[in-house]
Amino acid sequence: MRGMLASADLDRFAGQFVWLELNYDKAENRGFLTKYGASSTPTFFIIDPKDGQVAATQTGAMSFAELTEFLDRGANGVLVESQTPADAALKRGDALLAQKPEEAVRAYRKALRLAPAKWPPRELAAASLTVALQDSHQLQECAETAATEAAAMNRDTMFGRTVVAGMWCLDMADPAPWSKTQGARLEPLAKEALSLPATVRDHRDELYRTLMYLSLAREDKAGAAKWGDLWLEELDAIKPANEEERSAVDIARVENIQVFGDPNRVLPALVASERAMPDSWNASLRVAQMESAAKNYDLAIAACDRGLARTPGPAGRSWLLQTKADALSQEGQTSEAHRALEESLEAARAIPSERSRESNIKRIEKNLGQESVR
Amino acid sequence: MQRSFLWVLLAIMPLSAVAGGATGLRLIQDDFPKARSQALQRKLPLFVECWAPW
Repeated sequence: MRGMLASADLDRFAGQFVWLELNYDKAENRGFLTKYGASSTPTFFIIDPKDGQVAATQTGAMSFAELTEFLDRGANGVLVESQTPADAALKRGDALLAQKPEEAVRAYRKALRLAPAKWPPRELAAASLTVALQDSHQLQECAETAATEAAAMNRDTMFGRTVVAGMWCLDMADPAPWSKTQGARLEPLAKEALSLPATVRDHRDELYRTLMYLSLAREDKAGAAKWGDLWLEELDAIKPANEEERSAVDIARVENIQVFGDPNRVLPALVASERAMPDSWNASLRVAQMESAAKNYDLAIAACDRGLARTPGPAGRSWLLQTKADALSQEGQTSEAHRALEESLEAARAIPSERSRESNIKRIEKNLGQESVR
Repeated sequence: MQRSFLWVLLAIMPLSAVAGGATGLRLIQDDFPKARSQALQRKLPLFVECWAPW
């Protein structure tokens, strides 16, 4: 996404906004992240500088067309004085989505209820409603809404976004009494989304991943392997244009194997990336994760140390140290593992995002507790 | 005089072309107060992308 901002294709918007990029893992961004929240990355905001209110928000990667629509919507939200009641409710939903998703659900529902016939952002409001239902853990409603709304949508990026949210709700809830019914509705839509050229890379990755999880939930390892292979073939065919794209492909490779598969299948590509991106701690982390999965714990520990030397932010440092602690523990080096966990806890306390900070601290403290029981 | 003007023009043109193509948007990095203050001053909405290296 960051590469898209650097492209000349957005020149017509250049003088219409002030443009800001915030690294989720930099201490100086803690104030912004505390005020506005961002449960996932990337997250985009259009903010009215007069009152600091969010005029539009969007989580996850966007196609170029989606990005330009988002910019138009955001500019209208800030600059246009009178809006229709449906537009105002949509804007309110966006303002609430990152921090209060359950209230965002109500606002998006209101927008859809008030929407006049042929309201242009109808599909956007439906997609955002599904995401808000997912974020507020209303999983059954999320899956049902996604299946119903997506079936009626144009087959473009909004379709992919809606199906992805529904599939995650299905996976997060599975097994639930309603899983089978909603799975039968959503799975064909997920396959259809994968067949569409409009489905953006991030959504493709999420669709493959959720299809693998669903297969495993049915104890269908062959099905999971089939989706995993298709996904890896697609990733292997990508020629990344820059380091950001290369990192994204490598992350998808690791996520694939973490669901099901042989880590040795992806390790050569990850090792090559770590060499090619000498400043990327993330590249070292991915090697460490897969070396650990392949039970090469000494190699995993060495990769963590290389990553720590690449000056990660607090979240990156904490993640590398947790991965290292796990590998040390597997090697039977319990006191070193304990020390690494304590260092990871110290790093986690400095994570700028409140939600990420709290979940990391909770996890590490639990692991430290388990360590002391042993 | 004409020659030196042409030389100056040729010397400047590639630089401005590169600047326009590679940095279509003037991105502010990791400084919300500065960006908000600029937005207020210029009466423009503020676009923010929160990204992560992972």
